[in-house]
Amino acid sequence: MGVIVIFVVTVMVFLFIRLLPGDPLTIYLNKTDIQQLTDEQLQELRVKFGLEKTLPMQYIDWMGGLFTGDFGQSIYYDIDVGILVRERMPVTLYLGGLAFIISGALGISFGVICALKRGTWIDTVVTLLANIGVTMPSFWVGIILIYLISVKAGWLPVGGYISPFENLWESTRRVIMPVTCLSLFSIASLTRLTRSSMLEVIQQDYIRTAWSKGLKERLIVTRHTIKNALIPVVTVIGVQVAFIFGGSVLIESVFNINGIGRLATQAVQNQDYLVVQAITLIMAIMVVISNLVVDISYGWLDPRIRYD
Amino acid sequence: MPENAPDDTQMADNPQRAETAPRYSEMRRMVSVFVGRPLPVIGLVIIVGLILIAIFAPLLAPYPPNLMDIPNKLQPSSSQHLLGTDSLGRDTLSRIIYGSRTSLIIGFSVMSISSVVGILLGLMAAYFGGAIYHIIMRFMDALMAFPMLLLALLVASLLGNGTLNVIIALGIGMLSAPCRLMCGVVMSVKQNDYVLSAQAMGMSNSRIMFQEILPNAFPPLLVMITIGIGAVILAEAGLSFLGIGITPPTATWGGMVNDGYKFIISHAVLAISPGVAIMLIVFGFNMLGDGLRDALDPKLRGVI
Repeated sequence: MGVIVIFVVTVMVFLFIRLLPGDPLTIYLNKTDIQQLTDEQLQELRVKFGLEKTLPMQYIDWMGGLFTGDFGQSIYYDIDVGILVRERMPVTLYLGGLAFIISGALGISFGVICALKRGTWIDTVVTLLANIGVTMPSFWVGIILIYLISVKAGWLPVGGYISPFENLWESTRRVIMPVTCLSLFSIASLTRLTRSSMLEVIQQDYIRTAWSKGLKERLIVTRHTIKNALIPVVTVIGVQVAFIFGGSVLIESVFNINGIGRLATQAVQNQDYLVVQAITLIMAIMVVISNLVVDISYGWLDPRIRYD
Repeated sequence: MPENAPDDTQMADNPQRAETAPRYSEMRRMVSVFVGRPLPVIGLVIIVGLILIAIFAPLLAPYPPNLMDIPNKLQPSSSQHLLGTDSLGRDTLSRIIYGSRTSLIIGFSVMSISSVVGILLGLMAAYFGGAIYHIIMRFMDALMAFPMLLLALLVASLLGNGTLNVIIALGIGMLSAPCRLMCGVVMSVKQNDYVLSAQAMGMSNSRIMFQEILPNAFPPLLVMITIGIGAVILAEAGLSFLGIGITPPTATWGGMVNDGYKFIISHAVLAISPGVAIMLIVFGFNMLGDGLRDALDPKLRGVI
């Protein structure tokens, strides 16, 4: 199943570049170069890049290249796209991973607390904050944080990135604000989702049965309510991964972080299509893989679901 | 909005209820659930207000949105310029007022395109099943795997800048939600006897799809489209913030945040005020969507 989706993803990304107006050679050459070359030279280049073959053959060539880590050459940076991506990837993965863990932990806990304390002031305040949290543009929150925390208070540096292996303290100081922005939307939406899912489960007959059996409250909440309420929450984990990747495109621009998201924006502005193609493909495949992990974890949460 | 919706479409998803209660009281119940709580009403008021602001922008805005007044650039708030002026001397408040047009046009047109196409694909996938189902749904799975903003970046970079291209880019990104929703509803509805009887009566496939099945999916679709408009507006703000898509000097809230970011230390209001507008409009659509969901959800009957 996941393999089929990955196949469709690769075909789509491949076709995106083929749908470019004009000659596919524009991917490899500057526009001015093309006009200066003679027809014979162009034909030679076509053969060199394998562009004289049929589309399915070109796709197979391209996929073959991907497996050996060959994403092509960046026009703008004039180096291998694979090298470029490998250099920038860890930054985005580190920030995104932190944001993912934090949003999962906080979002689910807030949602559970709200549902258990339904109707109290805690529920009202947290739900309102969550409703506001899903409406705030992350890049705007980033700018406000920079204004309040860096410019006015001077507590944290404005931006930039330092690897945690290099200097853990300085790295953490720079990571706090971007990770907050990346996780904010996910925290808020997971809080909303967990809360409504919990409230739905609490009404179920089996919860009433558990109460009337005289089970301990802690056991009812953890074993019966939370576990069942998490099923719809786990479903959207893939969506969260995609959302955090999308957010990194914005947040890395705001905080001046040289990750893969910023690379994507710069590549679009520089019309560096092979870089855009590679980044899109890598992010999409990671989302598919996280969805696969979700499918597998379903079996544990809901034993009724079996994969044959 | 539930007040205007044809009431038989909502009735159809709960046949038992239809026998016991007269039609219009069901309608009234939904209206009272919707109006009975403050947040959905606030959402509705925000959206209607912003639509009116967008329509009457020329009357409301104190200055034309692109009127440059270089000698008066980067003014603080004053009685002439309530929110000050930007680096080209343009009035920030006027640009925020005109920016509502861009956001609403993009939001509504993207959701109408993606829901029409998505609904048709979802109907086809679920109704015909088999190979068509697998082709359409695997395509949607693949679309879902792309981060919306990155997909929009990719499409916008291929098509170039421009409002129409942004609409297409975001429309492709939003396609999978209506398609999957529609497919799910149809799969459950088509087991019903009345679909079988329609087939037995010799109704054509397209008539069954549009007359018998589509109305059942109407309530969840309405909720999804309402919340989707908010998501589209947020995504468009992100694209404009990156400077991709809608070209200057058209006023966009995302673009204004980006312009203001350069002057954040001296003129914070330039970046903060358009962001408040984005928040307000997305909050409006989310609350309206939540309110509609509660009002239309048959499971919540009697609870609220």
